[in-house]
Amino acid sequence: MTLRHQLDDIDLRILEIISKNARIPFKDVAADVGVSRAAVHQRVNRMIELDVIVGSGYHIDPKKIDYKTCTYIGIFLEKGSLYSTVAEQLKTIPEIVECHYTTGQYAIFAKVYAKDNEHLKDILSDKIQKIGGIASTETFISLDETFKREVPIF
Amino acid sequence: MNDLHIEPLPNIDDLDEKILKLITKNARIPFLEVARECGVSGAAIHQRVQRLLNLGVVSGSEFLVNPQKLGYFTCAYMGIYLEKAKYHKTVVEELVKIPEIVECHYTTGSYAIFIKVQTKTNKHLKKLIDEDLQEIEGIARTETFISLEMEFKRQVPIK
Repeated sequence: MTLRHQLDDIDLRILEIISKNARIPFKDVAADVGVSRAAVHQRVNRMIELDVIVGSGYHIDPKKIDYKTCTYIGIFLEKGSLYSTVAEQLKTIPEIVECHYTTGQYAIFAKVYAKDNEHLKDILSDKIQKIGGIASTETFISLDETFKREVPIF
Repeated sequence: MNDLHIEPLPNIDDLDEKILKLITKNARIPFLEVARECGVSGAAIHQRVQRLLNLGVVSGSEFLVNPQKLGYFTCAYMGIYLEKAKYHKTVVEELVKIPEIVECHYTTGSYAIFIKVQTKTNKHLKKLIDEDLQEIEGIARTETFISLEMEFKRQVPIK
């Protein structure tokens, strides 16, 4: 259920600031938004409780830690009913960073980071295609991530 | 970018990796706590994090927003076919103006461009396809995969 109606403009402004810089001192956020620092704390905690905020983290550039190949993989299943067992297995492969249950020709759509094409081949043939229930896969290598950003808050 | 081939990888030692593991899971963790876990001084952590930022290994920090709680219920992947490959650049310039597109890739395979879209509803998605995407000159057609459920999303493994 959407909580949008439970969030006011101040919440959204706080969210906009801290979703771009998680280490900003709350007193700066407070000054920017025009409320007290305690209010910022309170509102952030409330948004955490409401699950609007699901965590925080520093953003890693995968290329800089040697993950040079970014790939999307469409997965065909032998039977639709195998979805949940296959999804569980996929989760154990750490190079898969995102996994979706999709409409369209693929049953599952996953995003994979590999060190290079050889590593990608290993992940595909030794890990993904060994999973029982997967009929075949289709691979789209991303040659360039043109941009990546968060959803618009306002 | 002029890194046509291989960009030299920054030197990242075990301490960097330990720091990365901690700060990628919690951006507001006090650096003193990181220092304690790693067995070095707080100043050393500050220095290391600054270095990782300068090297571009980490590109900043953020609170992670749950799109659904902000009313974005439809997540879709879309493959875009171009009329001619040379339109790539101008099409991308137009795509970046559409805020609902949160990711954009230049891919091999059947599509020229691959994007991720977050919209409030399916109707909103239809409007985006109809009024924004199909209006862009150079786009021949699109193929849409709606994500019915996101199983998981995480960062790349550190080591």
